[in-house]
Amino acid sequence: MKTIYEMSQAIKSGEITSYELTQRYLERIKMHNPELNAYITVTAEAALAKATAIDEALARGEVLSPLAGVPMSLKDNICTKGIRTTCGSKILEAFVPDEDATVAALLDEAGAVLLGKVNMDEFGMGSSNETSYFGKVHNPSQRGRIPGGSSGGSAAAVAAELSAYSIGTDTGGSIRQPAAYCGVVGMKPTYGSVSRHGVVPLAMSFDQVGPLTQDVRDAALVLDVIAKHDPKDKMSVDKKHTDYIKTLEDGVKGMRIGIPKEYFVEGLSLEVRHEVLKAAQILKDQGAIVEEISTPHIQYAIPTYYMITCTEASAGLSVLEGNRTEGFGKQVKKRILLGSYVKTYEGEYPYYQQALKLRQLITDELLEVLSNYDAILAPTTPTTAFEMGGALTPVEMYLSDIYTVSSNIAGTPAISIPYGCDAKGLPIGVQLVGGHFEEAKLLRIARCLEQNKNQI
Amino acid sequence: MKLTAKRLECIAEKAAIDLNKQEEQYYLDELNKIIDLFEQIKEVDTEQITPYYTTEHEQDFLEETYALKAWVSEYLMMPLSVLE
Repeated sequence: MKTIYEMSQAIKSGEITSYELTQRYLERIKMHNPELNAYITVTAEAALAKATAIDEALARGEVLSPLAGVPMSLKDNICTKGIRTTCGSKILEAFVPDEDATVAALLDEAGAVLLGKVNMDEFGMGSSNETSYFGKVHNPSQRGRIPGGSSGGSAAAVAAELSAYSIGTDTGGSIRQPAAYCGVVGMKPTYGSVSRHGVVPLAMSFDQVGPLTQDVRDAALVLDVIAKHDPKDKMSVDKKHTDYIKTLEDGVKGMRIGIPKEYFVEGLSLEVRHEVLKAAQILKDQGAIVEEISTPHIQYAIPTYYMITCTEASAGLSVLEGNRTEGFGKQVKKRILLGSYVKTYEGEYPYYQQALKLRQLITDELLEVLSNYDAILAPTTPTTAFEMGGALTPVEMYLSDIYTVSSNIAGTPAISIPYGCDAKGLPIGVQLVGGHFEEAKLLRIARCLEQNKNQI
Repeated sequence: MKLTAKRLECIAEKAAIDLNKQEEQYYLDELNKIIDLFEQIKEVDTEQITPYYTTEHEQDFLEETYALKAWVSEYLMMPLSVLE
């Protein structure tokens, strides 16, 4: 019993109580967290109290959400009332919010059992989860390898079954990249579809909140609860509720899928390439039309992304007072300094204005493709998880986000699903990118891939 | 453009971060590698492109959240109104 769906059925049928399930997870956390370091804070007492409340509600015959009684975790940049929220940083080591983030409140109302807050790169700045003040997170597939970042604690917790699902944030791939490295599903919804109220920002025009789950159906179940309009988030979009489950099993017959030729370049491992091509073949076998496409400006996505996000992050973090010299780690200082550099010398070297124009160019190009195709199929990462403390340069580290940042630049939804392993047994992820608010379609294609992955 | 020690000192002061000599060298090396990456974007002809959010005052861009809202409105809300 691994998925939300299975657990929900078991709780409702009386096969197991939420209390028993929560106890199981807490025991696994006690056993495995010391070596994985996925959790920063475990809220055992509150979790058991919530589980008891759900069991009592069920006993009274109340109709509950599929998430009711199922244990989960939140990335530690999502504010939780009365529970410390550190963002993986020393400067917020003792920060205890007096309000829940909207996403935390929605999950609480749906009956979710919060097991605790999971580790992350400091303020979301990193792709390896090696920059947290609270220590590195290990990849459950192989200790000593990174889980990805910045939602590495979320991905590791779900992969190691220390949490049935987790909520992460994705600014440039921070849900999808760790999901791929750890072998779980990770979804970044459309910008504006899930409230960021109460989520500590990294770069406000890119940040999005989304689920990391065991399978695609679970991602749909979580999205159904958290994708709600919230007037407290200025960027939140008011739209009709979408039923993500209804069309999940409808298949891909007649759908058009594009594969950008620019993605198959030097640096993409042969094993990842093989799995993407295998996924393309499976989609064809299931009745989809798969064609090569071109997105030439994608090569500028990484510098564009870093130029704008560092500037936004620098501005965002300027509000944090305290001892910034001792309170921030190296990676955060690096990005603050970079943002400060861009702002200070913009008059002399107008990189930022150029980056904004390139953002427009990349967005237009992606949306043009997506007006002719139902989705884009791509790798999630160029390689599998690398070793901790590896000799990657900052630029090489940034390039690990090369396939994910364009969705954040354009605000489009994207999902990574596990697709095979390399020769070392490390998970590989393949990614689907869709048009704005086309999550239901993306989940449907992802579900088809998930269910047919052993067909070749 | 390479970042110099003098300019690093200036931006660190603006960011309220103190750097010792050893750190200065570390950040100079690291930041210059990234700035080299940024140089790539200069090669693209964007003369005809108008970004959906722009800033007139270089010192306070990003504080202008209304501009971001305009970008979202253009790209996310308009297609939505068509869908609905």
